[in-house]
Amino acid sequence: MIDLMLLLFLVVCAIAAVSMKDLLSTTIILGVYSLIMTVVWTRLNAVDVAFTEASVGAGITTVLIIAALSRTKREEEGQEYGMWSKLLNPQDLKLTDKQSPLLWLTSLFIVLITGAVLIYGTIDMPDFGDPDAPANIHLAKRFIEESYEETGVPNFVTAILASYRGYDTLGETTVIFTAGISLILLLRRKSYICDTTIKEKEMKEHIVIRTISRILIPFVQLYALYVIAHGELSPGGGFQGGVIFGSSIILYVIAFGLEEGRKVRIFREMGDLLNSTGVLIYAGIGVLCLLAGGAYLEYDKLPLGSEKMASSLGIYGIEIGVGITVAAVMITIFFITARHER
Amino acid sequence: MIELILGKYNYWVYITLMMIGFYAMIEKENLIKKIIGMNIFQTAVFLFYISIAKVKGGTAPILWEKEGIPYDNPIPHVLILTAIVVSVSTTAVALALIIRIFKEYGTIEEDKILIMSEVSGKQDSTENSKFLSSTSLLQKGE
Repeated sequence: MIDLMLLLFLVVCAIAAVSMKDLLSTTIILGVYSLIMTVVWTRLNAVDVAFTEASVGAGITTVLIIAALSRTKREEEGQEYGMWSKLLNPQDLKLTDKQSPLLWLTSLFIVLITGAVLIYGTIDMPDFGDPDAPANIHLAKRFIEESYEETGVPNFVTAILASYRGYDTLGETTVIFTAGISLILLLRRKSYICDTTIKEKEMKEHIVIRTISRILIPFVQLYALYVIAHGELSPGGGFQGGVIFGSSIILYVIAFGLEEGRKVRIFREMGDLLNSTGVLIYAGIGVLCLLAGGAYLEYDKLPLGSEKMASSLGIYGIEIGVGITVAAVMITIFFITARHER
Repeated sequence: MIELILGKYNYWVYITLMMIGFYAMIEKENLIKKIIGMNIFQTAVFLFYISIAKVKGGTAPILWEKEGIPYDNPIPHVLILTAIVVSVSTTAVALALIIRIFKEYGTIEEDKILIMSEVSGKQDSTENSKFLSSTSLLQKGE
């Protein structure tokens, strides 16, 4: 029953987020949506996914959209009439000559048709929770039965992520790295003239926020390291820990201002270097496996004691690589998006 | 009929969510609204994957000493875990593009951007005057 309630709440949040005019409210509702999503995922036993969603969806995405809003516009323009008033009094519509008068009707039609076709498609799907569904009987069974013997990692999700699908994860890490690079290319300018003086003064009043974040940040960072280190045994890993570490720096910048944040020396001078270091560690461990006589990313062949030990340590190494890249890219993205220029 | 509804209702909720996001992507003129629509669309797809992984009575896919309890399917979890982190990267790139568009055009409404780029495409003058004339034309047009 609670699952149904949560799903309905998700739908309500989605509708509210789409129909609000004030984009800041929309963003906050999207954060709430993500938080409910985290609960839904915990209910579905996808603990690693819930962990990622809590840090990424509810945390970083919200902050990024707010940063982008501060550099563009907060209000949605043009559409003075919501969907319902359009349906009820079509004569009130004010349209620019370029806008098709039936755009909203056409889109509604397309959306309804697509939705109907998809719902028709679900009739052939296996029921929710069916243990004999095709997705659950072939590959999954083998991974569950043998992955601990083969990799020495009790968390199946981490074992598959880092070992069986190691190439895929290397690709994903590269995608994140590429996103960081594209942001640098799109938005970074050489001059760092920040117009944060007024905001800094305003923020000085918020002594509670500053004190609390000063106390919290070391613990958040310690927790991030714990999450990376224990990714093999419990939910967590490089992606989650990296994002949590990144958000601790973002919290610091939000509480103390951009200028103060830029004084964190390691990120001013080494930010770009750290972005690529993580990917390099990951790819480098692959090359080490080659040198040790195995295939690319075949951790068992590393000369580190028994096969199980070597495999476990190899996975540990790439989790650290992923964590460094994710944390550095999140910080880079935030610094670049939030900067104000004159 | 009731069996059908009980077995599939959650898929239908995901489709509803996906269609809400899809509607925002094609109908809204505001670019940030489109991105938010895309985010909702993505989470609906993620939900669909994760619910496929659920096994009745299953537990989280982490090795456990007790025998006889089935585990949920870990493969979709892996796929979606990385997909979430990639989705925040794509969102960040999209937001960066929107900031650049706002710098060039002074607006993030798609219809206005289209009008401005059409106007500036017809004129043969320096970039700066193109931009100025298109903004003044836009103001007259409204």
